Amino acid sequence: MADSEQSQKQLSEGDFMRLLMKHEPALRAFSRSLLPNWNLVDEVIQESSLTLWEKFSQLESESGFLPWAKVVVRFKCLSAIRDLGRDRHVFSEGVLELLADEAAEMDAEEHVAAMQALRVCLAKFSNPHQELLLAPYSGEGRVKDIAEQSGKSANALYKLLGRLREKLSGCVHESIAKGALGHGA
Amino acid sequence: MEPDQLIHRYLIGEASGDEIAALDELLAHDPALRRKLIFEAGTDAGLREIALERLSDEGGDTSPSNVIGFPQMGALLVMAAAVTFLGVALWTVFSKPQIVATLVSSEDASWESSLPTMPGSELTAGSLKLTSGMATIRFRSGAEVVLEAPANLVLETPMRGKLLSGAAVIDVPDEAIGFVMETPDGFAVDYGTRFAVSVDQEEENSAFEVLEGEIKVHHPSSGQEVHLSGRQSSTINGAGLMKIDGPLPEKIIAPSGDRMRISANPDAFSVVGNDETEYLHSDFLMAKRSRSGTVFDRRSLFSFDLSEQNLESYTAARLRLNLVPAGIGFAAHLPVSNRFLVYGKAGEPLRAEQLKPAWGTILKPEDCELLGAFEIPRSQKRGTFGIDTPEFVAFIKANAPNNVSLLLIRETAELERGGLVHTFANDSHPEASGPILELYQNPNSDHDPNK
Repeated sequence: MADSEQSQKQLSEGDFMRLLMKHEPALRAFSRSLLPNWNLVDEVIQESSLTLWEKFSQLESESGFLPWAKVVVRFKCLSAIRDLGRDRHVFSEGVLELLADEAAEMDAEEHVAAMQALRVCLAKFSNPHQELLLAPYSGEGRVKDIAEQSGKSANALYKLLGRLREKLSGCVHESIAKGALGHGA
Repeated sequence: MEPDQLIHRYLIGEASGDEIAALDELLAHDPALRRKLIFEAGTDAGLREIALERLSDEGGDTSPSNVIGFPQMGALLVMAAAVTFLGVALWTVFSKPQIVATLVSSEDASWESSLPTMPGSELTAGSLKLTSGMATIRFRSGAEVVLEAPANLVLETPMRGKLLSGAAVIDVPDEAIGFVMETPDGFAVDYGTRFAVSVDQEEENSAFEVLEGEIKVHHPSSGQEVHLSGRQSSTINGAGLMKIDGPLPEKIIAPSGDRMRISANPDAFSVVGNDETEYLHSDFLMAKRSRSGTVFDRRSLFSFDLSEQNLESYTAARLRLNLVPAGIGFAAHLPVSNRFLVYGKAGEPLRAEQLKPAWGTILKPEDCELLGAFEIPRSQKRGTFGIDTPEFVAFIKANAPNNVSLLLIRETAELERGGLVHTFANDSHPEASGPILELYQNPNSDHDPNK
């Protein structure tokens, strides 16, 4: 209760922590749409957090946090890509600019809704399929380990993974659309 | 290849340079495909978050409170964020085992833990259960936790711990600002300070008190949060979060109006199979069963005077016996767990002083009613044990207002000669009290005698 009064006053250090924590998943997703791998995303988010902290006094209202943070993160992403030099594993600058503009439009509520839908949808998959969907983030070589255990080729498993991801995102899309309709009614 | 599948291959890091160039070309001219990529990047981020949660769950704590439900997801993300912000990249979770903390010192500490418990030990993620004494644990971030037994602390990351039960005082230097101490009911983010936290597992209540500096306490299931500074404090439970403008009130022990305690009559005694009194001591009630024969066996007999008591309204009863060490025999010569039986018989006081008790003349199990049994691990030398069976309650109620006599024997025999003699405090024991009969009016009272 004491905090709602505070939101109109000057933002404190505590507010910064809270806002950063609240919006970090959205910032992470935003960086992922621009950067080619997760290691780079982690680096950029860390650097951006420090920059945001230093410039926090410039922020005027809580609601401005996410758009402001995306500007900082976008800048850090593009500069990290420039540091990679002429790497064939990243998108061209023109495409990155388009992606950054379009991804910046996604707001905090949309992100939260997508994450909630994702959890519900993931739970609908069988345990082995959930394991495969999470394998790319569960340690290096995890997909290949599963391939060995199941006696399938890694290639076949990556194809299956692609199909499962497509099915998962279909489910997430559908449940967001339903949620939005439910909201409007 | 389908553009959708190209996006998935790109995001899981399997796309070749050619494939990425092809995707780039498609993205440049197709706004719908760009939306798809942005959407899939979000899904990728979410999947990774979930994978990390599951990994950290496997890493240590397996208690039910660690099962992550929807309302707690926010809290988890918050903690993940705090970790990242302070310079520990999330992906380090993968390169386990990661050193999370160091056990700095311990005072009279005893542990139940799969982690090392020698002072100076480096600790990976996992659970530490302190059963007695105190211990100081320094997280790698610099946050220092002084833990008071009995307590159960889960080390999660250098920036995050979870106190499942017990009390701790946490000192957070500047470099560890953002340290998160979670409890089953909520969590506190620290902004450079010293604060105390205590978790009452039975009451499902956590309390935070700032000693110096400031913290923010969050109640994830309601989304409430409160800023505490100076000597402010707050409590969190199912009902929500309450801020207190001052230190926590001292814990009040609930009055025990519905409980009555009756001490055993002062005539309690033990007997030994060979009737040589030098094997006995008036401070102790002894129990032992040999491998063969009864020459060194011990049994104990004690009685309660119920004549002055009106027991109508009491619905539960327990017998309390305080195990104390006397140092007779080796515990290693016993099975891991030892079973004791309590028999009862209505009757006169034992008058041990007049009649010299002898193995052959005292009550025998076959003359009595079996009222209950309890187990003591051979490793345990102290603690309160006893019975609270329905048979025991019925026996006490049926025999009031007369005296009742109880016979204690150890059913478990030693494996080798020279095994431990179990010794319970008798009335004259300088530290612990002799046998006690507790009676309760409310059957729901917590009265497990083996706690």
